[in-house]
Amino acid sequence: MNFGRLVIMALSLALLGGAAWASFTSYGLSMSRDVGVAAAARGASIRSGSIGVGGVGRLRVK
Amino acid sequence: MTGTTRAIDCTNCGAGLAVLGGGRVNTQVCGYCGASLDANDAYRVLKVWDGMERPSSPFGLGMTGAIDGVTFTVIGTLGQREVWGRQVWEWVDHQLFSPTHGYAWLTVEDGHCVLTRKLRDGPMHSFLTSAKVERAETPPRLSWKGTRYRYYATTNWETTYVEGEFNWRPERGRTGTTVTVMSDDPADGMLAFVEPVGGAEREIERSHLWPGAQAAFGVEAPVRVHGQHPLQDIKAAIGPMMIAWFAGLAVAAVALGFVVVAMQPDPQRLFSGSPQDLPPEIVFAVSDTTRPARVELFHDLRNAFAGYEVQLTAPDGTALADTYREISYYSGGSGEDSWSEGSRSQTLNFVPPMAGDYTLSVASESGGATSGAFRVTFREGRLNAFWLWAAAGLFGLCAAAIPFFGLAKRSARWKGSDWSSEG
Repeated sequence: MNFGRLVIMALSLALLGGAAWASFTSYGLSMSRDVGVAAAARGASIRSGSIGVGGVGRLRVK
Repeated sequence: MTGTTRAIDCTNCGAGLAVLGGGRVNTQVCGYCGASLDANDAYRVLKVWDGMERPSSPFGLGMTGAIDGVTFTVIGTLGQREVWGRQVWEWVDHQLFSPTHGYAWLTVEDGHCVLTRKLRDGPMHSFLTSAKVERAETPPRLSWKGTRYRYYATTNWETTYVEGEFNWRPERGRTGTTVTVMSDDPADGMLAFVEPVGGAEREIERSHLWPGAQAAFGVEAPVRVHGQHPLQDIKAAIGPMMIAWFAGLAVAAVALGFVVVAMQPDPQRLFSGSPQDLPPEIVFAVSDTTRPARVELFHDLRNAFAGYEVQLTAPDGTALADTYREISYYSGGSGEDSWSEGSRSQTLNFVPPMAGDYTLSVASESGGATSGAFRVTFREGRLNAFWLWAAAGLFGLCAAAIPFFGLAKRSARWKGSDWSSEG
């Protein structure tokens, strides 16, 4: 078995391991910018700044 | 083997010349003075070609080698050349002789060795001439013994050097045309339709690559092979084992993906009914603080919108959200003209800061639609199977690409074809 083939096999195995790690750790799931302790602490400026941001819902300016 | 080797003296220069070629030899050309001698007429001098330069070849007259148990002796050498525009191709044809299997050719070009035999049962009825090729609008094809052959190239050759014995009458400066065809399987070899200029006999020949020729003839300083020969069976460097490897990884990724999906907790339904019946507060329990959670609002709207004020409070009373979600869904048309925009659901995605009972307040804003089913769901401990699906797709592509590129490599055998669709 040549070295190049071993490298390809090792890299692909590492890729599978990385994909499994990312999936089980929920990596990449989107978070709402207007939800969470930090977002609430930032207050209305964040809410008004988030108007129209896709995927987080439109925020009403009070 | 011939058993004994006879020799003659050149009737032009007196040099000793070995006689190796059997009873059908009718011409012997002296390698010293370039005299062409009639082997059937006491080696009478026919012509003399002065100043011929011997082409480079690892094979020499008198060398013997075996293929498939048949021993051949090199009895003649022809230097061949084709000139097209500024391009020049040169190769060497050696005539071979076997007492049991007759005459054959060993061609050397760019280090590639090719064994060629004359076909006595070739497709003479569909003899392919260069004129036919020029008239053809698509690459000429023909069938022979159940195999489909396709046009490969036309060679306009000229003999530049002659030495040794031949069972025909070669001449320096002789020209001709050879049209070659191939099948998609290199094992079928190459058929060559040879048409010498001047009305000499037309022949059909069949050629196969003979990679072991230099070893078979005991060449001490083998010539290195350059480039690719159309008769080479080029296999993909990454073969079936790697296909199985990538397919196995794809299966493993899919299996892990299903495991992730199976591990996803089911969503809890916090409310289901009319928006007007929403309670002032919805309390739900959260236990997983390590993974993202999601509150989802779903309103089964049709060409309408609705707005909701959403407040979320942590178990310790901390405000996590005081925000707004608008749900709108519009659609129309039919068939290919159908369209839709918006979504019937909105979400709040967050990582719970602590375990305990969370309080959710969802209030319908006035002016929005109040009809249609409405529900609120909560899911915690969310996993993301996307990466495993993506990896499975990538590995599947790799597995599929390996045979594809293998086929592409095999089709690269035709890259030297001179067929042009514009011709």
